[in-house]
Amino acid sequence: MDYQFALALALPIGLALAAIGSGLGLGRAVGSAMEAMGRQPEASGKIQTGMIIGAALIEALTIYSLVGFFILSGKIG
Amino acid sequence: MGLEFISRIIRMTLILAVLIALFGSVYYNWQESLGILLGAVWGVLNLYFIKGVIVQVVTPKETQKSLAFILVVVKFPVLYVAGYFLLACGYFSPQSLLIGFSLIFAVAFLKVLGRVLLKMDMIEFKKKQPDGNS
Repeated sequence: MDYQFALALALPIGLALAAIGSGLGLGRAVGSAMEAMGRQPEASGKIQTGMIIGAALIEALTIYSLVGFFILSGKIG
Repeated sequence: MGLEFISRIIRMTLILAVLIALFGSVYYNWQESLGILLGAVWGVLNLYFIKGVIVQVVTPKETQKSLAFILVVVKFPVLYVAGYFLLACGYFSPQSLLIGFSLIFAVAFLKVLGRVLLKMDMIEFKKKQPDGNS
């Protein structure tokens, strides 16, 4: 197995794992925030702010893996 | 620490990115500096659209479903297709784009750290108490 074949095999799998992980993380974060907002509606502003920053961080990780995918896919001949 | 905190993070990131781009283009390399600026704009747009979607969809108040739909439809092409074209055009190095993209998180982290060190949340909480003590 040469390295290009391994790269072609590993890149989509890696990207899919990143997407699955960030989807699960985002779902958990938003679900927990909804629960917290339902319990304490007066604190919804603070919860929302934390949730937005957390969601942006989680999405940023997916974008990092997407950038890595684009960079490395150029090396597949 | 409400939603205006996000707006301040976005404003601060844009100011910082412009300053970095100006100094970098004069003293270092204009392509790398422009890459950092564009990466920062990419990150800012990401956070702005996430904020818009969450505020429109997930609020206890009245929501605007049509605006939320437009934000979701616009967000994904803006994020991924624009990012792809930025990377594919080859003018900017991926490192500079990623540094710019990560700038917003550095700003957010430093702002939160500042609030924690200055105990600003505690001060706001004490101000909200009617007799002034917790």
